[in-house]
Amino acid sequence: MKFGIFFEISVPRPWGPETEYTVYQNCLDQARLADELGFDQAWAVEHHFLEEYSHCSAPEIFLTAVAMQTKRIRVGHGIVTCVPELNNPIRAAERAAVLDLVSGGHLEFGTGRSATWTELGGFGANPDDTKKTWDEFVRVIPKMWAQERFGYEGRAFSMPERTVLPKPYQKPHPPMWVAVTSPGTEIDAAERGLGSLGLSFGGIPEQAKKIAAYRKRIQSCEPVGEFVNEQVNTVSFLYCHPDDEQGVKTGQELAGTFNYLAEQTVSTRQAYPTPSYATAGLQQALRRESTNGPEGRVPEGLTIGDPHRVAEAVRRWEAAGVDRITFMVNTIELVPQEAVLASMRLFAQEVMPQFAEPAAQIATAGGG
Amino acid sequence: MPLTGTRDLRALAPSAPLLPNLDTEPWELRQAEHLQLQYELGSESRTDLLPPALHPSIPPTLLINVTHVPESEVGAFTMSTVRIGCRSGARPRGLLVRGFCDSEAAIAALRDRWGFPLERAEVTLHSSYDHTATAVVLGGRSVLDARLVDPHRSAAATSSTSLPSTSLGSTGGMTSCCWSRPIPTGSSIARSEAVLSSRPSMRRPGPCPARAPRSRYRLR
Repeated sequence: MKFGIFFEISVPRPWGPETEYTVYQNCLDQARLADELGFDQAWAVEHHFLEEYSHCSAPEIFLTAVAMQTKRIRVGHGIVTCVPELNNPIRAAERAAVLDLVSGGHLEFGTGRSATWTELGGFGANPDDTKKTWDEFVRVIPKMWAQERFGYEGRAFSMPERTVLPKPYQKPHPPMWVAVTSPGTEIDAAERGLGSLGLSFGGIPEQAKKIAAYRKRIQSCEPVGEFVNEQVNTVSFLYCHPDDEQGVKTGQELAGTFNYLAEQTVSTRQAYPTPSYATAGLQQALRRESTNGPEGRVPEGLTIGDPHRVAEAVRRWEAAGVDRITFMVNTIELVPQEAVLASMRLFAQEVMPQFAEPAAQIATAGGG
Repeated sequence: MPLTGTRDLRALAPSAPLLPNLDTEPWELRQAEHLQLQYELGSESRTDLLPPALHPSIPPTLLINVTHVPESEVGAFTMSTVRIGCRSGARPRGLLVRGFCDSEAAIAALRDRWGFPLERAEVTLHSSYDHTATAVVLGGRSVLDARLVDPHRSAAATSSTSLPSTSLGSTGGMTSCCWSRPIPTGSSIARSEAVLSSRPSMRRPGPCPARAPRSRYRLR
């Protein structure tokens, strides 16, 4: 089991001159500490216009700063929105390659298509097309990285033959992932040989079914890249505290606040009926799984509470077949920065060693 | 935390309909045709249209819904509502700020059930293969005139989310927010861009905001 941290970079109102600066600096502090403590990855989302919820619109720049201030942690570009109105695929490939180079080959490349009308409408993107453009992006980007020269005539974009530069440091290219929120996307991931970047924050029984389906289907996949990245990542909230009651209380506030902010945006489904967004997506899953535990109990899989409770939650994820858990450690600065850092330290001291991998496996892991 | 409304509830409360109680049975409306126009509001009106209990959605939205019901326990009727897209806590809602209906019996039924503040008006909804048109005439004056050109079927009805409504109602001397949740069971949705010639004021009876609504219009 590997552990990481997950940045939405949420910024609380009121927005003073120092607010965004302070939040960004706090996130960098968290990334540096994560690296020192032995966390394996730091992921950053790409979101646009999502007031308070996420001010992380240029994750490749934030992740470059992370890479420059850390030694060994891998940087997760997750996810790059594979919609041409938001990202040209050539530019996405170029930026990712540079990030891989400057980080010393530490890049993990996540892909997705956005779930909100707030974002897609803001860029004038057609929600009918995002599944198709994502499919096109994930097929051409690894070719831009791996082939010396690349030309393409496609549906969402075309380009004459050119040499897309630079090439990534990792050969043949960085591991590729796809964000899995909608039902069926885990199969999309498996069929293309991509890692499954689960973002539903809970619901272990349902996740276990998805993981089993993913593991089965990926055995006969046709990889879009040069290799198969069979890995399952999930995201959870982390608040680890010596006092279980305090840990649970703060952790549930963290999850509830994040969910509250997520619901303020307009989902694509709320604005634009299309088969491309047949389910409500992330927000409903969040509400259902992360804040509504049975009979007032902590929802299973939420990594909050004292080290014992957190370790039990990790074990449940491990039993469900998850390879990695990435943790959201704060939202809109709800938890004071010192308490966030203390929670990370306690987790690393008391929980992480229980899931340490044999040295031989560590030596070969990480490059996909 | 998210922005909250700044509209003075004391100005709205006196006009809140008197509700017999807050327990309301579901009302099944068969064979109904429904039109929704949704567009984005300018940010200047994002909070001043909502009471303090509600958050504006991101982005702020306005929804005009027109429903034709060919038969019901109160007879046939057609109604049109104007709602502000918002959130009650984390729950998506549309604050019903104005409404029109061509049937006194339906006006009474919808007021008593959910506090819908409907005014008597001529409300029409016509559909054909190449367009859908709706209009509201209040006291001889057009307050809504919209047309959808070349609507095309896009998805099953179950693939959309119908935004529950919130409206004010008075029970036992206390003003409360009531909400109603439409559950569409139809077979399909048509979607198109709309031409909106006129729309109702979002404040009754105040004027429309000076600037025209912007962005695109969508039907579902």
